[in-house]
Amino acid sequence: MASSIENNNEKLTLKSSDGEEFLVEKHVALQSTLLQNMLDSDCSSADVIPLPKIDARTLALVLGYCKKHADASSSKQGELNSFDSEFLKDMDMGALFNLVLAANFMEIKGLLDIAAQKIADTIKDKPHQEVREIFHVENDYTPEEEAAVREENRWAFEGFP
Amino acid sequence: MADYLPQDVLVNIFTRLPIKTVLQCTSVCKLWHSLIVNPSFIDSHLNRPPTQAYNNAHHLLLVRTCFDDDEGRKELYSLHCDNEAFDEYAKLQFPFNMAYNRFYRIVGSCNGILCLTDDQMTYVDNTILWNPTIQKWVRLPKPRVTFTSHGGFDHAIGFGFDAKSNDYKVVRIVRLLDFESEVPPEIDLYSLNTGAWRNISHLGLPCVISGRATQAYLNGAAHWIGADMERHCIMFLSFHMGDEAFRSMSLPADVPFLPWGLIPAVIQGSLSVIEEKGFSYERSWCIWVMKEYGVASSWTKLIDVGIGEQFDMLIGFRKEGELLIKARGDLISFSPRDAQVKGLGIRSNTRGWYDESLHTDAYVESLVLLGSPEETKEDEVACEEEKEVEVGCREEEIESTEAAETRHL
Repeated sequence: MASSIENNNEKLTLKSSDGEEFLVEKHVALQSTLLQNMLDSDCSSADVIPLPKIDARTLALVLGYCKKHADASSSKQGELNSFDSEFLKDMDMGALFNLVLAANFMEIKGLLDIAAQKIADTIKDKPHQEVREIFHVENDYTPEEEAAVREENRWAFEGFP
Repeated sequence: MADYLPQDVLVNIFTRLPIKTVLQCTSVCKLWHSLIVNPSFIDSHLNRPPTQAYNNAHHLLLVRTCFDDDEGRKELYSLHCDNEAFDEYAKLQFPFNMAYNRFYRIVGSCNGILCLTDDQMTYVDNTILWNPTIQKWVRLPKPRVTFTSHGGFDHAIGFGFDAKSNDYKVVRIVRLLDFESEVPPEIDLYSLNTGAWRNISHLGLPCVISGRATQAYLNGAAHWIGADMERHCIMFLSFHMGDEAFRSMSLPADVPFLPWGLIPAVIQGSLSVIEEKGFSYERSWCIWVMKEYGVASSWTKLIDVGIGEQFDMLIGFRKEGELLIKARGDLISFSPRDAQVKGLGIRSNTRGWYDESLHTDAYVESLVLLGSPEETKEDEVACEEEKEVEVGCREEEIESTEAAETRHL
Protein backbone atom coordinates (compact mmCIF):
# COMPACT_ATOMS: atom_id res chain seq x y z
CA MET A 1 0.00 0.00 0.00
CA ALA A 2 1.31 3.43 -0.88
CA SER A 3 1.55 5.02 2.48
CA SER A 4 2.03 8.62 3.36
CA ILE A 5 4.30 7.66 6.25
CA GLU A 6 7.46 6.65 4.47
CA ASN A 7 9.39 9.68 5.52
CA ASN A 8 10.62 9.31 9.08
CA ASN A 9 10.79 13.02 9.63
CA GLU A 10 7.18 13.40 8.76
CA LYS A 11 5.04 15.32 11.17
CA LEU A 12 1.37 15.44 11.85
CA THR A 13 -0.91 17.94 13.45
CA LEU A 14 -3.16 17.19 16.40
CA LYS A 15 -5.86 19.59 17.47
CA SER A 16 -7.07 19.76 21.07
CA SER A 17 -10.68 20.25 22.18
CA ASP A 18 -9.96 23.92 22.85
CA GLY A 19 -8.58 24.48 19.36
CA GLU A 20 -4.85 24.43 19.94
CA GLU A 21 -2.76 22.69 17.29
CA PHE A 22 0.29 20.54 18.07
CA LEU A 23 2.85 19.57 15.45
CA VAL A 24 4.08 16.09 16.36
CA GLU A 25 6.76 13.91 14.87
CA LYS A 26 5.35 10.72 13.50
CA HIS A 27 7.43 8.38 15.64
CA VAL A 28 6.19 10.19 18.74
CA ALA A 29 2.57 9.91 17.63
CA LEU A 30 3.02 6.16 17.12
CA GLN A 31 3.13 5.71 20.91
CA SER A 32 -0.64 6.02 20.61
CA THR A 33 -2.36 2.94 19.18
CA LEU A 34 -5.29 5.13 18.13
CA LEU A 35 -3.04 7.38 16.01
CA GLN A 36 -1.09 4.40 14.72
CA ASN A 37 -4.31 2.80 13.45
CA MET A 38 -5.36 6.07 11.85
CA LEU A 39 -2.02 6.42 10.08
CA ASP A 40 -2.09 2.78 8.99
CA SER A 41 -5.46 3.26 7.38
CA ASP A 42 -6.40 5.97 4.96
CA CYS A 43 -5.83 8.96 7.15
CA SER A 44 -3.34 11.33 5.60
CA SER A 45 -0.79 12.92 7.85
CA ALA A 46 -1.39 16.14 6.00
CA ASP A 47 -4.75 16.38 7.69
CA VAL A 48 -5.25 17.90 11.08
CA ILE A 49 -6.38 15.19 13.49
CA PRO A 50 -8.95 16.54 15.92
CA LEU A 51 -8.97 15.15 19.47
CA PRO A 52 -12.26 16.58 20.70
CA LYS A 53 -12.04 15.00 24.17
CA ILE A 54 -8.60 16.26 25.14
CA ASP A 55 -7.78 19.81 26.16
CA ALA A 56 -4.52 21.55 25.27
CA ARG A 57 -3.02 21.28 28.75
CA THR A 58 -3.59 17.54 28.88
CA LEU A 59 -2.48 16.99 25.31
CA ALA A 60 0.79 18.81 25.98
CA LEU A 61 1.41 16.45 28.92
CA VAL A 62 0.49 13.39 26.87
CA LEU A 63 2.82 14.39 24.04
CA GLY A 64 5.61 15.08 26.52
CA TYR A 65 5.23 11.52 27.79
CA CYS A 66 5.12 10.09 24.25
CA LYS A 67 8.19 12.04 23.15
CA LYS A 68 10.24 10.82 26.10
CA HIS A 69 9.23 7.21 25.49
CA ALA A 70 9.66 7.39 21.72
CA ASP A 71 13.13 8.92 21.95
CA ALA A 72 14.52 6.73 24.72
CA SER A 73 16.39 3.66 23.62
CA SER A 74 15.31 0.39 25.11
CA SER A 75 18.49 0.22 27.16
CA LYS A 76 17.39 3.13 29.26
CA GLN A 77 14.50 1.48 31.10
CA GLY A 78 15.72 2.77 34.44
CA GLU A 79 15.75 6.32 33.16
CA LEU A 80 12.22 5.90 31.80
CA ASN A 81 10.99 4.52 35.12
CA SER A 82 12.27 7.55 36.99
CA PHE A 83 10.81 9.83 34.31
CA ASP A 84 7.44 8.10 34.79
CA SER A 85 7.40 8.56 38.54
CA GLU A 86 8.50 12.20 38.26
CA PHE A 87 5.96 12.79 35.52
CA LEU A 88 2.93 12.24 37.75
CA LYS A 89 4.42 13.59 40.96
CA ASP A 90 2.49 16.46 42.52
CA MET A 91 -0.14 16.28 39.80
CA ASP A 92 -3.59 17.27 41.08
CA MET A 93 -6.44 14.78 40.78
CA GLY A 94 -8.21 16.80 38.08
CA ALA A 95 -5.16 16.75 35.83
CA LEU A 96 -4.60 13.08 36.59
CA PHE A 97 -8.18 12.18 35.64
CA ASN A 98 -7.85 14.13 32.38
CA LEU A 99 -4.61 12.30 31.70
CA VAL A 100 -6.08 8.84 32.34
CA LEU A 101 -9.03 9.69 30.06
CA ALA A 102 -6.67 10.88 27.32
CA ALA A 103 -4.44 7.81 27.66
CA ASN A 104 -7.51 5.59 27.49
CA PHE A 105 -8.92 7.41 24.44
CA MET A 106 -5.60 7.57 22.58
CA GLU A 107 -4.71 4.01 23.66
CA ILE A 108 -1.33 4.75 25.18
CA LYS A 109 -0.94 1.69 27.37
CA GLY A 110 2.12 2.74 29.35
CA LEU A 111 0.60 6.08 30.29
CA LEU A 112 -2.76 4.49 31.12
CA ASP A 113 -0.94 2.05 33.41
CA ILE A 114 0.98 4.65 35.39
CA ALA A 115 -1.97 7.05 35.63
CA ALA A 116 -4.40 4.33 36.77
CA GLN A 117 -1.81 3.07 39.26
CA LYS A 118 -1.32 6.60 40.61
CA ILE A 119 -5.08 7.00 41.12
CA ALA A 120 -5.27 3.57 42.79
CA ASP A 121 -2.39 4.48 45.12
CA THR A 122 -4.11 7.75 46.01
CA ILE A 123 -7.43 6.21 47.05
CA LYS A 124 -5.92 3.12 48.69
CA ASP A 125 -6.22 4.31 52.28
CA LYS A 126 -9.04 6.80 51.92
CA PRO A 127 -12.50 6.30 53.43
CA HIS A 128 -15.21 5.83 50.80
CA GLN A 129 -16.78 9.24 51.52
CA GLU A 130 -13.52 10.85 50.45
CA VAL A 131 -13.28 8.54 47.43
CA ARG A 132 -16.72 9.79 46.34
CA GLU A 133 -15.45 13.38 46.47
CA ILE A 134 -12.30 12.56 44.52
CA PHE A 135 -14.27 10.83 41.77
CA HIS A 136 -17.19 13.29 41.89
CA VAL A 137 -19.52 10.34 42.35
CA GLU A 138 -22.98 10.90 43.72
CA ASN A 139 -24.06 8.49 46.44
CA ASP A 140 -27.20 6.84 45.05
CA TYR A 141 -27.71 4.54 48.05
CA THR A 142 -30.34 5.17 50.67
CA PRO A 143 -28.80 5.07 54.16
CA GLU A 144 -30.38 1.62 54.66
CA GLU A 145 -28.95 0.31 51.38
CA GLU A 146 -25.52 1.67 52.18
CA ALA A 147 -25.59 0.04 55.60
CA ALA A 148 -26.60 -3.26 53.99
CA VAL A 149 -23.74 -3.06 51.47
CA ARG A 150 -21.28 -2.38 54.26
CA GLU A 151 -22.72 -5.29 56.21
CA GLU A 152 -21.94 -7.62 53.26
CA ASN A 153 -18.24 -7.14 53.97
CA ARG A 154 -18.27 -5.76 57.48
CA TRP A 155 -14.61 -6.56 58.18
CA ALA A 156 -13.40 -4.32 55.34
CA PHE A 157 -14.97 -1.28 56.98
CA GLU A 158 -13.56 -1.79 60.43
CA GLY A 159 -11.80 1.36 61.54
CA PHE A 160 -13.74 3.51 59.08
CA PRO A 161 -16.58 5.85 60.06
CA MET B 1 -12.54 18.70 35.44
CA ALA B 2 -13.33 15.12 34.69
CA ASP B 3 -16.26 13.97 36.76
CA TYR B 4 -16.82 10.82 34.81
CA LEU B 5 -14.54 7.93 34.07
CA PRO B 6 -15.64 5.22 31.65
CA GLN B 7 -16.30 1.83 33.21
CA ASP B 8 -13.22 0.20 31.67
CA VAL B 9 -11.00 2.85 33.26
CA LEU B 10 -12.73 2.41 36.64
CA VAL B 11 -12.21 -1.35 36.41
CA ASN B 12 -8.58 -0.77 35.43
CA ILE B 13 -8.12 1.28 38.62
CA PHE B 14 -10.02 -1.19 40.87
CA THR B 15 -7.84 -4.04 39.59
CA ARG B 16 -4.83 -2.32 41.13
CA LEU B 17 -6.36 -1.94 44.59
CA PRO B 18 -5.85 -4.17 47.61
CA ILE B 19 -8.83 -6.38 48.40
CA LYS B 20 -9.90 -4.40 51.45
CA THR B 21 -10.07 -1.15 49.46
CA VAL B 22 -11.95 -2.88 46.64
CA LEU B 23 -14.59 -4.00 49.14
CA GLN B 24 -14.83 -0.49 50.61
CA CYS B 25 -15.42 0.81 47.08
CA THR B 26 -18.63 -1.24 46.86
CA SER B 27 -20.21 1.33 49.18
CA VAL B 28 -19.34 4.33 46.99
CA CYS B 29 -22.32 3.95 44.64
CA LYS B 30 -24.48 1.29 42.97
CA LEU B 31 -22.49 1.30 39.72
CA TRP B 32 -19.22 0.65 41.54
CA HIS B 33 -20.86 -2.16 43.52
CA SER B 34 -22.08 -3.87 40.36
CA LEU B 35 -18.70 -3.50 38.64
CA ILE B 36 -16.89 -5.08 41.60
CA VAL B 37 -19.19 -8.05 42.31
CA ASN B 38 -19.11 -8.95 38.61
CA PRO B 39 -17.36 -12.33 38.14
CA SER B 40 -15.32 -10.96 35.23
CA PHE B 41 -13.87 -8.27 37.53
CA ILE B 42 -13.12 -10.88 40.19
CA ASP B 43 -11.21 -12.76 37.47
CA SER B 44 -9.26 -9.73 36.28
CA HIS B 45 -8.36 -8.82 39.84
CA LEU B 46 -7.08 -12.34 40.46
CA ASN B 47 -5.18 -12.52 37.18
CA ARG B 48 -3.78 -9.00 37.10
CA PRO B 49 -0.20 -8.75 35.91
CA PRO B 50 2.24 -8.84 38.82
CA THR B 51 3.29 -5.27 38.06
CA GLN B 52 -0.23 -4.14 38.94
CA ALA B 53 -0.41 -6.02 42.19
CA TYR B 54 -0.12 -3.78 45.21
CA ASN B 55 1.86 -6.53 46.91
CA ASN B 56 3.89 -7.51 43.88
CA ALA B 57 6.95 -7.87 46.07
CA HIS B 58 5.39 -10.71 48.03
CA HIS B 59 4.81 -14.30 47.29
CA LEU B 60 2.45 -15.38 50.02
CA LEU B 61 2.56 -18.58 52.00
CA LEU B 62 -0.32 -19.80 54.10
CA VAL B 63 0.60 -21.34 57.45
CA ARG B 64 -1.79 -23.27 59.68
CA THR B 65 -0.89 -24.17 63.24
CA CYS B 66 -2.91 -25.68 66.07
CA PHE B 67 -2.70 -25.01 69.77
CA ASP B 68 -4.65 -25.23 73.01
CA ASP B 69 -5.47 -22.33 75.25
CA ASP B 70 -7.93 -21.70 78.09
CA GLU B 71 -10.83 -21.62 75.66
CA GLY B 72 -9.87 -24.93 74.14
CA ARG B 73 -8.47 -26.07 70.85
CA LYS B 74 -7.65 -23.50 68.20
CA GLU B 75 -6.65 -23.50 64.56
CA LEU B 76 -4.62 -20.49 63.56
CA TYR B 77 -4.21 -19.44 59.94
CA SER B 78 -1.81 -16.73 58.83
CA LEU B 79 -0.18 -15.45 55.66
CA HIS B 80 3.53 -14.87 55.43
CA CYS B 81 5.70 -13.17 52.85
CA ASP B 82 8.11 -15.57 51.22
CA ASN B 83 11.01 -13.25 52.01
CA GLU B 84 14.18 -13.51 54.05
CA ALA B 85 12.44 -12.66 57.33
CA PHE B 86 9.28 -14.69 56.55
CA ASP B 87 7.30 -11.61 57.67
CA GLU B 88 3.74 -12.10 58.79
CA TYR B 89 1.51 -10.47 56.18
CA ALA B 90 -1.89 -11.09 57.77
CA LYS B 91 -3.63 -13.11 60.44
CA LEU B 92 -6.71 -14.84 59.08
CA GLN B 93 -9.83 -15.15 61.16
CA PHE B 94 -10.98 -18.76 61.53
CA PRO B 95 -14.76 -18.57 61.59
CA PHE B 96 -15.67 -22.21 62.10
CA ASN B 97 -16.37 -24.34 65.12
CA MET B 98 -13.57 -26.73 65.90
CA ALA B 99 -13.35 -29.75 63.69
CA TYR B 100 -14.79 -32.95 65.09
CA ASN B 101 -11.49 -34.66 64.24
CA ARG B 102 -9.20 -32.33 66.21
CA PHE B 103 -8.42 -30.15 63.19
CA TYR B 104 -9.47 -29.79 59.58
CA ARG B 105 -7.57 -31.47 56.81
CA ILE B 106 -6.62 -28.88 54.19
CA VAL B 107 -7.36 -30.64 50.91
CA GLY B 108 -5.87 -27.88 48.81
CA SER B 109 -5.80 -24.23 47.93
CA CYS B 110 -6.63 -22.64 44.61
CA ASN B 111 -7.18 -18.98 43.66
CA GLY B 112 -7.44 -17.94 47.29
CA ILE B 113 -9.96 -20.65 48.23
CA LEU B 114 -9.08 -23.30 50.77
CA CYS B 115 -10.90 -26.60 50.73
CA LEU B 116 -11.22 -27.89 54.31
CA THR B 117 -12.65 -31.24 55.25
CA ASP B 118 -13.23 -32.91 58.60
CA ASP B 119 -12.03 -36.45 57.90
CA GLN B 120 -8.77 -37.00 59.77
CA MET B 121 -9.88 -40.07 61.73
CA THR B 122 -13.57 -40.48 61.22
CA TYR B 123 -15.40 -39.29 58.15
CA VAL B 124 -17.58 -36.34 59.15
CA ASP B 125 -19.54 -35.08 56.14
CA ASN B 126 -18.31 -31.56 56.49
CA THR B 127 -16.40 -30.02 53.62
CA ILE B 128 -16.03 -26.27 53.26
CA LEU B 129 -14.75 -23.94 50.55
CA TRP B 130 -13.36 -20.93 52.38
CA ASN B 131 -11.92 -17.65 51.19
CA PRO B 132 -10.23 -16.45 54.39
CA THR B 133 -9.15 -13.13 52.88
CA ILE B 134 -12.69 -11.88 52.35
CA GLN B 135 -14.20 -14.07 55.08
CA LYS B 136 -16.70 -15.88 52.89
CA TRP B 137 -17.36 -19.56 52.67
CA VAL B 138 -19.64 -22.21 51.28
CA ARG B 139 -20.40 -25.47 53.06
CA LEU B 140 -20.90 -28.37 50.68
CA PRO B 141 -24.21 -30.24 50.85
CA LYS B 142 -24.28 -33.74 52.30
CA PRO B 143 -22.69 -36.19 49.88
CA ARG B 144 -24.52 -39.10 48.30
CA VAL B 145 -22.36 -41.82 49.82
CA THR B 146 -22.29 -41.85 53.61
CA PHE B 147 -21.72 -44.36 56.36
CA THR B 148 -25.49 -44.73 56.78
CA SER B 149 -26.17 -45.22 53.09
CA HIS B 150 -23.25 -47.47 52.14
CA GLY B 151 -21.44 -48.63 55.29
CA GLY B 152 -17.71 -48.35 55.91
CA PHE B 153 -15.61 -46.56 53.35
CA ASP B 154 -12.38 -44.78 52.58
CA HIS B 155 -12.46 -41.56 50.60
CA ALA B 156 -10.09 -39.24 48.79
CA ILE B 157 -10.95 -35.67 47.89
CA GLY B 158 -9.67 -33.39 45.16
CA PHE B 159 -10.31 -29.67 44.79
CA GLY B 160 -9.63 -27.31 41.94
CA PHE B 161 -10.72 -24.77 39.37
CA ASP B 162 -12.39 -25.39 36.04
CA ALA B 163 -11.30 -22.43 33.91
CA LYS B 164 -13.61 -23.45 31.05
CA SER B 165 -16.79 -22.86 33.00
CA ASN B 166 -15.26 -20.60 35.68
CA ASP B 167 -16.29 -23.07 38.36
CA TYR B 168 -14.72 -24.54 41.49
CA LYS B 169 -15.15 -28.28 41.86
CA VAL B 170 -14.63 -30.94 44.50
CA VAL B 171 -14.27 -34.56 43.45
CA ARG B 172 -14.84 -37.31 46.01
CA ILE B 173 -13.72 -40.86 45.38
CA VAL B 174 -15.17 -43.41 47.78
CA ARG B 175 -13.91 -46.95 48.15
CA LEU B 176 -16.47 -49.11 49.91
CA LEU B 177 -15.02 -51.50 52.45
CA ASP B 178 -17.89 -53.79 53.39
CA PHE B 179 -17.37 -56.19 50.53
CA GLU B 180 -15.32 -59.30 50.23
CA SER B 181 -13.89 -58.28 46.91
CA GLU B 182 -13.06 -54.84 45.54
CA VAL B 183 -16.14 -53.08 44.13
CA PRO B 184 -15.96 -50.15 41.69
CA PRO B 185 -15.47 -46.80 43.44
CA GLU B 186 -18.35 -44.42 44.04
CA ILE B 187 -17.35 -41.04 42.59
CA ASP B 188 -19.17 -37.73 42.95
CA LEU B 189 -18.41 -34.24 41.73
CA TYR B 190 -19.50 -31.05 43.45
CA SER B 191 -19.74 -27.85 41.43
CA LEU B 192 -19.82 -24.47 43.16
CA ASN B 193 -21.87 -23.00 40.29
CA THR B 194 -24.66 -25.54 40.67
CA GLY B 195 -24.21 -25.96 44.42
CA ALA B 196 -24.80 -29.71 44.13
CA TRP B 197 -23.08 -33.08 43.93
CA ARG B 198 -23.41 -35.20 40.80
CA ASN B 199 -22.71 -38.93 40.53
CA ILE B 200 -19.86 -39.57 38.07
CA SER B 201 -19.10 -43.16 39.12
CA HIS B 202 -19.49 -44.27 35.49
CA LEU B 203 -16.07 -42.74 34.76
CA GLY B 204 -14.36 -45.42 36.80
CA LEU B 205 -10.74 -45.21 37.93
CA PRO B 206 -7.64 -46.57 36.19
CA CYS B 207 -6.09 -47.42 39.57
CA VAL B 208 -6.77 -47.25 43.29
CA ILE B 209 -5.83 -44.44 45.64
CA SER B 210 -5.59 -44.48 49.39
CA GLY B 211 -8.07 -42.87 51.73
CA ARG B 212 -7.38 -39.15 52.37
CA ALA B 213 -4.66 -39.25 49.72
CA THR B 214 -2.68 -36.00 49.54
CA GLN B 215 -3.42 -33.99 46.43
CA ALA B 216 -1.12 -31.84 44.34
CA TYR B 217 -3.04 -29.29 42.29
CA LEU B 218 -1.65 -28.06 38.98
CA ASN B 219 -2.91 -27.12 35.52
CA GLY B 220 -6.57 -27.44 36.47
CA ALA B 221 -6.18 -30.97 37.79
CA ALA B 222 -5.91 -32.68 41.17
CA HIS B 223 -3.13 -35.28 41.28
CA TRP B 224 -2.71 -38.18 43.68
CA ILE B 225 -0.40 -41.16 43.88
CA GLY B 226 -2.32 -44.16 42.61
CA ALA B 227 -1.50 -47.84 42.37
CA ASP B 228 -2.41 -50.71 40.13
CA MET B 229 -2.15 -53.56 42.60
CA GLU B 230 -2.47 -56.33 40.01
CA ARG B 231 0.22 -54.99 37.71
CA HIS B 232 2.23 -53.93 40.73
CA CYS B 233 2.90 -50.44 39.49
CA ILE B 234 2.35 -46.91 40.78
CA MET B 235 1.42 -43.81 38.86
CA PHE B 236 0.02 -40.32 39.13
CA LEU B 237 -3.76 -40.35 38.99
CA SER B 238 -5.24 -37.01 37.97
CA PHE B 239 -8.73 -35.59 37.77
CA HIS B 240 -9.11 -32.75 35.29
CA MET B 241 -11.70 -30.27 36.49
CA GLY B 242 -12.45 -28.86 33.01
CA ASP B 243 -13.22 -31.97 31.01
CA GLU B 244 -14.11 -34.01 34.09
CA ALA B 245 -11.85 -36.91 33.24
CA PHE B 246 -9.44 -39.14 35.13
CA ARG B 247 -6.04 -39.76 33.59
CA SER B 248 -2.87 -41.46 34.70
CA MET B 249 0.76 -40.46 34.25
CA SER B 250 3.99 -42.34 34.77
CA LEU B 251 6.14 -41.73 37.82
CA PRO B 252 9.94 -41.66 37.52
CA ALA B 253 11.15 -45.13 36.59
CA ASP B 254 13.50 -45.24 39.59
CA VAL B 255 10.77 -44.76 42.17
CA PRO B 256 10.06 -48.02 43.98
CA PHE B 257 6.63 -49.57 44.41
CA LEU B 258 5.73 -47.75 47.61
CA PRO B 259 2.21 -46.60 46.86
CA TRP B 260 1.56 -44.83 50.12
CA GLY B 261 5.08 -43.70 50.93
CA LEU B 262 5.32 -41.08 48.21
CA ILE B 263 4.11 -37.51 48.52
CA PRO B 264 2.86 -35.60 45.47
CA ALA B 265 3.69 -31.89 45.37
CA VAL B 266 4.03 -28.87 43.14
CA ILE B 267 7.51 -27.39 43.21
CA GLN B 268 8.29 -24.19 41.31
CA GLY B 269 5.33 -24.76 39.04
CA SER B 270 6.11 -28.38 38.21
CA LEU B 271 4.43 -31.59 39.26
CA SER B 272 6.76 -33.35 41.69
CA VAL B 273 7.00 -36.38 43.88
CA ILE B 274 8.89 -36.78 47.13
CA GLU B 275 10.28 -40.12 48.11
CA GLU B 276 11.50 -40.66 51.63
CA LYS B 277 14.32 -43.16 51.74
CA GLY B 278 16.23 -44.95 54.44
CA PHE B 279 15.94 -44.99 58.21
CA SER B 280 17.46 -43.17 61.12
CA TYR B 281 20.75 -41.42 60.23
CA GLU B 282 20.48 -42.65 56.67
CA ARG B 283 17.16 -40.90 56.00
CA SER B 284 16.95 -38.75 52.92
CA TRP B 285 14.38 -37.08 50.71
CA CYS B 286 14.61 -37.59 47.04
CA ILE B 287 12.63 -35.02 45.07
CA TRP B 288 11.65 -35.62 41.46
CA VAL B 289 10.26 -32.92 39.19
CA MET B 290 8.33 -33.41 35.95
CA LYS B 291 9.91 -30.59 33.94
CA GLU B 292 7.37 -30.81 31.14
CA TYR B 293 3.85 -31.53 32.33
CA GLY B 294 2.57 -34.89 31.14
CA VAL B 295 5.88 -35.91 29.57
CA ALA B 296 7.22 -38.96 31.43
CA SER B 297 10.70 -38.61 29.91
CA SER B 298 11.03 -35.19 31.54
CA TRP B 299 11.17 -36.57 35.11
CA THR B 300 14.34 -35.14 36.64
CA LYS B 301 15.83 -35.71 40.05
CA LEU B 302 15.91 -32.26 41.66
CA ILE B 303 17.68 -33.11 44.88
CA ASP B 304 18.54 -36.01 47.07
CA VAL B 305 19.11 -34.54 50.47
CA GLY B 306 20.20 -36.33 53.61
CA ILE B 307 17.99 -35.36 56.53
CA GLY B 308 19.06 -37.75 59.24
CA GLU B 309 16.79 -37.79 62.25
CA GLN B 310 16.46 -34.07 62.74
CA PHE B 311 13.57 -33.39 60.35
CA ASP B 312 10.10 -34.89 60.65
CA MET B 313 8.20 -33.91 57.59
CA LEU B 314 8.58 -31.92 54.40
CA ILE B 315 5.57 -29.62 54.25
CA GLY B 316 6.29 -26.90 51.73
CA PHE B 317 8.51 -25.17 49.24
CA ARG B 318 9.74 -21.61 48.96
CA LYS B 319 10.28 -19.65 45.80
CA GLU B 320 14.07 -19.60 46.18
CA GLY B 321 14.18 -23.37 46.47
CA GLU B 322 14.31 -23.75 50.25
CA LEU B 323 12.26 -26.49 51.82
CA LEU B 324 9.77 -25.86 54.61
CA ILE B 325 10.16 -28.58 57.17
CA LYS B 326 8.52 -29.55 60.41
CA ALA B 327 11.09 -30.42 63.04
CA ARG B 328 9.55 -31.32 66.41
CA GLY B 329 6.70 -28.82 65.97
CA ASP B 330 8.87 -25.97 64.72
CA LEU B 331 8.63 -24.70 61.20
CA ILE B 332 12.08 -24.38 59.72
CA SER B 333 13.47 -23.35 56.40
CA PHE B 334 16.18 -25.54 54.94
CA SER B 335 18.34 -24.66 51.98
CA PRO B 336 19.47 -27.79 50.13
CA ARG B 337 22.22 -25.79 48.39
CA ASP B 338 24.25 -25.04 51.50
CA ALA B 339 22.41 -27.12 54.14
CA GLN B 340 21.53 -23.90 56.01
CA VAL B 341 18.78 -24.39 58.61
CA LYS B 342 16.73 -21.42 59.75
CA GLY B 343 13.95 -21.33 62.35
CA LEU B 344 10.95 -19.26 61.28
CA GLY B 345 9.56 -18.63 64.75
CA ILE B 346 6.43 -20.67 64.12
CA ARG B 347 5.41 -23.57 66.32
CA SER B 348 2.51 -25.95 66.32
CA ASN B 349 1.20 -28.39 68.84
CA THR B 350 2.98 -31.71 68.50
CA ARG B 351 0.96 -33.66 71.02
CA GLY B 352 -0.48 -36.89 69.65
CA TRP B 353 -2.71 -36.34 66.68
CA TYR B 354 -1.81 -32.66 66.42
CA ASP B 355 1.55 -33.70 65.16
CA GLU B 356 0.42 -33.32 61.58
CA SER B 357 -1.47 -30.07 62.04
CA LEU B 358 1.32 -27.81 60.76
CA HIS B 359 0.52 -27.00 57.15
CA THR B 360 1.95 -24.63 54.54
CA ASP B 361 0.90 -23.85 51.01
CA ALA B 362 1.39 -21.16 48.41
CA TYR B 363 -1.46 -18.67 48.57
CA VAL B 364 -2.93 -15.83 46.52
CA GLU B 365 -5.48 -13.36 47.82
CA SER B 366 -8.67 -13.21 45.81
CA LEU B 367 -12.28 -12.03 45.73
CA VAL B 368 -13.62 -15.44 44.72
CA LEU B 369 -16.83 -16.32 46.68
CA LEU B 370 -17.60 -12.59 47.06
CA GLY B 371 -21.23 -13.27 46.20
CA SER B 372 -21.60 -15.96 48.85
CA PRO B 373 -23.95 -15.05 51.62
CA GLU B 374 -22.23 -16.72 54.56
CA GLU B 375 -19.85 -14.53 56.43
CA THR B 376 -20.99 -14.48 60.01
CA LYS B 377 -19.03 -16.46 62.51
CA GLU B 378 -20.24 -19.98 62.64
CA ASP B 379 -21.25 -19.86 66.28
CA GLU B 380 -23.40 -16.80 65.59
CA VAL B 381 -25.42 -18.66 63.03
CA ALA B 382 -28.75 -19.66 64.46
CA CYS B 383 -28.58 -23.32 65.19
CA GLU B 384 -31.69 -23.93 67.23
CA GLU B 385 -32.48 -26.65 64.79
CA GLU B 386 -30.30 -29.55 65.75
CA LYS B 387 -28.59 -30.80 62.67
CA GLU B 388 -27.70 -34.41 62.44
CA VAL B 389 -24.17 -34.86 61.28
CA GLU B 390 -23.29 -38.22 60.10
CA VAL B 391 -19.98 -39.70 60.94
CA GLY B 392 -18.61 -42.23 58.53
CA CYS B 393 -15.90 -44.41 59.89
CA ARG B 394 -13.16 -46.64 58.63
CA GLU B 395 -13.91 -50.16 59.59
CA GLU B 396 -10.68 -50.72 61.45
CA GLU B 397 -11.22 -47.58 63.46
CA ILE B 398 -14.63 -48.43 64.76
CA GLU B 399 -13.17 -50.18 67.75
CA SER B 400 -10.58 -47.56 68.44
CA THR B 401 -12.88 -44.60 68.48
CA GLU B 402 -15.98 -43.85 70.43
CA ALA B 403 -17.23 -41.63 67.68
CA ALA B 404 -18.65 -44.22 65.37
CA GLU B 405 -22.21 -43.17 65.91
CA THR B 406 -24.19 -40.18 64.92
CA ARG B 407 -23.43 -37.08 66.90
CA HIS B 408 -25.17 -33.78 67.36
CA LEU B 409 -23.64 -30.43 66.63
